[in-house]
Amino acid sequence: MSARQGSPLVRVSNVWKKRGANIVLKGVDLSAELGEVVCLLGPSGAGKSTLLRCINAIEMPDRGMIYVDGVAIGCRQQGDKFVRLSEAEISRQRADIGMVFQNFNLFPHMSVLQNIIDAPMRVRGESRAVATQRAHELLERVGLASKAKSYPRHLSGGQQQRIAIARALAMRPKLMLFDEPTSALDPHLTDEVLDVIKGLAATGMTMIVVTHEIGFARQVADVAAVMVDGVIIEAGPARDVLTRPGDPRTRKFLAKSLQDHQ
Amino acid sequence: MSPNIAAQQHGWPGSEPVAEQIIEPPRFGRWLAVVAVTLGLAWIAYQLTTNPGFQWNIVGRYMLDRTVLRGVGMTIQLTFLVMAIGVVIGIFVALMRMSRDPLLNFCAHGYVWFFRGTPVLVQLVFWYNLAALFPQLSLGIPFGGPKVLEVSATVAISSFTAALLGLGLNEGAYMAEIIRAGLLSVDAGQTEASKALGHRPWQTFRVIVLPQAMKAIVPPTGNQVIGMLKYTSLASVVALHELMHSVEIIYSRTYETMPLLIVAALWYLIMVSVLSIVQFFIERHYLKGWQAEVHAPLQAPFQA
Repeated sequence: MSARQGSPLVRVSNVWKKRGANIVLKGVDLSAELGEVVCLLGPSGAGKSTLLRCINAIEMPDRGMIYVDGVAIGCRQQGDKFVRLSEAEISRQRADIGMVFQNFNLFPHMSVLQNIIDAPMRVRGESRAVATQRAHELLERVGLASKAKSYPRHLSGGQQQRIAIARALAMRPKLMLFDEPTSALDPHLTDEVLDVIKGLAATGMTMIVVTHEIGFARQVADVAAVMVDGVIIEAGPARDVLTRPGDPRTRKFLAKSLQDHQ
Repeated sequence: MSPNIAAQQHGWPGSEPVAEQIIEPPRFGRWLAVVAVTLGLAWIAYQLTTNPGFQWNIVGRYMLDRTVLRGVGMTIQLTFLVMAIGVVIGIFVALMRMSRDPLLNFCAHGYVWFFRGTPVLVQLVFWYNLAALFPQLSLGIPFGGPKVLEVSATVAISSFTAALLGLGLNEGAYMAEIIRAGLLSVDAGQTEASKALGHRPWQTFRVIVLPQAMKAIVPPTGNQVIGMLKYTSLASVVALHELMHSVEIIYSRTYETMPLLIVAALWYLIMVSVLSIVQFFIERHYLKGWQAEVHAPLQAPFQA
């Protein structure tokens, strides 16, 4: 079923990305093993979100390759060249990768239940009964079993983000990407979302999380990677990177983040 | 919570007069306005009933006249078809204008520029007289190549097809801009979230973006439909028997101009009223998920 043999689930290899004259990613390498939680840290504007969006081809790298489960994302190998896939083909690849956004991006014209069951039915071809059954299980899991019929606008930010996580999980992804999932939330609402993500980590889901929550990263991350100016300056076991950072810039960033949160 | 409980126990506003009441100040200006409006309406009613120039008996006689009814039918049919053409062209041109492909963009720009930039009346007469430019319309290889199908332009272009082409192509240019504005009003995050779930491009458009854009598209489109209902009267210049042309035919024969113009005006008013009701329900449909959460207390504020 999977094309990889002993290689990591996600492999980002020498990825470059330009936006106008600005080089956002400068030869980024990163990998995540199956079941690993990778936290991507760093100051704003470092290119963390861009890297995450490249992994599910919402943006395309200009150079370099990204493999998920051994499959090149957004292109197909032909001899020694890589040919860009069509949007329809890329959408099939995206279906296996769940993504949670900073601004939740729930569909406001659909009820919570419709938000969750639409893609499983439309993309995966699941029956309504099966999809609905699973949606209720997921809502139970994120603690919002009673909200199936509500519309997103009537929920708090924390509740919306938990629904967004349930919506992503409904596609049974093999990888979950979180793009600053708590940055748009009031401080007192972040914990309910972080708890759901922690619970998900405990089930062995492979996750890449862009976050500013150092405390959260310390608790759940297996690997921490620190990105500054489009380059990953330090990556390794979270315990080492977050407690005994080797790079002075990492030390500075961690000190500043901890200050901000007090 | 507690005020509600108090209200339930004592009835509104409670047994003791402890809650201060705020009284509206007297508004003398409003009473003056009421008098002025009443007088105005009374004068209109007086004129309508007593002025013999309106010739209501003739209005009544022609309201359900066969020629007039056929005109009403033609106006409805033409409005419906023109708007259908306009919406279909509008969707495609709007998508072309929003695409990153420079060629599609150029073509869409050119289309909107041309059809929005020339008067509808000119376009109508142009299509009607197409035979002067191309006596033979044919389908095949251009520049002298073989032809699959060939018809005479005078046969292919009737009053109806000329009106359909002239009004429809023009309407497409306006609808393209309305639809584009609607699509732009939907947050880019919606497209991203839809893509991330594995929706194909067409699914993203039809299931996620378009339904949300409709909120912004429906009101101006309703405006366009109502405008078009009356714009169809322009088709009288290409001798199409829509409502306006039908009453013209009658009063040019009988010289009962006023009453027949009233017949036309009444029919337009009736059709516009029906369309406004339809628009109300369509708008309400696309506002699903956007209304404030609590309805019941607003409708029945203080039930004791």
